Amino acid sequence: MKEMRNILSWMGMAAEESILKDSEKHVEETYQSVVYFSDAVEAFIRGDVGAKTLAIEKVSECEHKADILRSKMVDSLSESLLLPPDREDLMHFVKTLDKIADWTLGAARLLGFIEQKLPDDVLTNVSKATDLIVASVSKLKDGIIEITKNDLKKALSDAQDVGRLEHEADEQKRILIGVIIHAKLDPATLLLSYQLAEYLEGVTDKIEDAADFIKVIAIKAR
Amino acid sequence: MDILLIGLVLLMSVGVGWSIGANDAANSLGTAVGSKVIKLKQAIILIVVFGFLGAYFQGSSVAHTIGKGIVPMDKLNKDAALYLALVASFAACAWVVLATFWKMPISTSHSIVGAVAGGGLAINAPVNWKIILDVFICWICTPLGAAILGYIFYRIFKNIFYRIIPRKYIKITMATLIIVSGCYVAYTWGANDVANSIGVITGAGILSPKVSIALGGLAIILGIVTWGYKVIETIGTEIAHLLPVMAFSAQLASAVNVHVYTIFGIPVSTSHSIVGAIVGVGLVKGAKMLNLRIMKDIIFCWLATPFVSGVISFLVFKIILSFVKLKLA
Repeated sequence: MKEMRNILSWMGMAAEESILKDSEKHVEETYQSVVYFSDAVEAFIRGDVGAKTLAIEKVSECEHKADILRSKMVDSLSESLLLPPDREDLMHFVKTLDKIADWTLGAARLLGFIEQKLPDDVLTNVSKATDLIVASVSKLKDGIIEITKNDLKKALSDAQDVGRLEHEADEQKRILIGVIIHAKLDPATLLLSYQLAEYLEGVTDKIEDAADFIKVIAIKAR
Repeated sequence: MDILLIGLVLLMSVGVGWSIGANDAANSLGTAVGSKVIKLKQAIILIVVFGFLGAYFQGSSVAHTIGKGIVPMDKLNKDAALYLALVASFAACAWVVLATFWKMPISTSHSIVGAVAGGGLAINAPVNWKIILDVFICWICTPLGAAILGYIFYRIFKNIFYRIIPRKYIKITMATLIIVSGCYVAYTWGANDVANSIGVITGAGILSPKVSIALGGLAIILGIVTWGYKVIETIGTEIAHLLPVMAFSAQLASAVNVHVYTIFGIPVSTSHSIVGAIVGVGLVKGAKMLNLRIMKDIIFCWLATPFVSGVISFLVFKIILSFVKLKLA
């Protein structure tokens, strides 16, 4: 159906393209929030509280910008008389994209609460989990750019890579929790560290959810 | 040779007719299917019947413009007219296929007008620039006129409809009005667009006007039943979100708009008319209908189509002329 040149179908598809273009901007903000979170983790490992706080503030700013973009995209999906054929998928996609930034901010806030210096093996594994998030969100960003360029094969391949990275993040979470349990932390830090591990894996989960919608949109567009 | 040429012209014309049926059938009753006023099968039957009736009873005046108005093909040498018919229908068909491949929303009417003019220029035939200018002005007026009519109709109907008709009859009245206006759109669509397919056939005198119009009508029907139903389904079930009063106002506006041009024998884009009408209706509701980028793309396609099909036609004819000697008169 995508090949038809009927003007009404075309206008729906043009609206879909426009939403996907906005989602490119959204994922860019999300990517930035993840990068700032990664900076916050590095600063935390170095023990640089000032840099950590600054990076967490940046994560919050990016999340706010992503929120504004989400509202714009939801408006575009509801205002027009002729809507994209895949509007329901797009609506879920938009919501899922927004959750990535939300969960990243959640993880950043937890990191902000941890004041005690964590043991090296915990920090190493937090760093590894953060790297997986950055790698996943990069793949997601590539996937969205490719879908807007109509390179469906590459978009699907990137979405599959995100799935693989999520699997690794699952495994990383198991290792991190194991290390946290054996780290003899005080109760508050133990609780916060455990929550942080949950959130780190949660972010990759949300990235995978967004990648699943890329698969849906790509398969439908074939 | 003549038989081969005639066969090719007929084939190309049927191809253009098929494409019109496949792509544009949804413009008439697609929104009615979406509003669940009518089922897909019923919509197809109505489009087929009314599209054919429009083509048969009122298709000749636009066919005259395309076949004899832009370039007087009836006054050309028989071979020159045959080749022009072939090249013009080929160029229009080729551009429609390319545009479909590139997902551009072009108009078959714009394509055939450009192709006939381009072919005419290639053989130094007398191209009637006044008619082309008139047609061009009408192309600008088509979406604008439909938008104004859509705006006026919706303003009137949304205010008086619920006051005049008793509540218990509203549903049935609305359904009837949507179906009737949809059939009117199909009628005017058949009347205006059939000429895109067979205008050159009548111009070159290959078949009589009535027979060629019947052939064009059948080609359009073929397009509807083999492919057009899928587009109707997409538009009806997935894209158009029009309330019944809006759908009725938009359809009526578009049909009246196209009917006026058809009476004057002007080939216009029925798609631009329905889009214009929907925009007009949307303006009353304050709905954001088109963003600037979509508008830009539509205008680009609109401007490019007659030019590109004209250039294709011109170049193909020049190539043919390097192999074949043709007398103009």
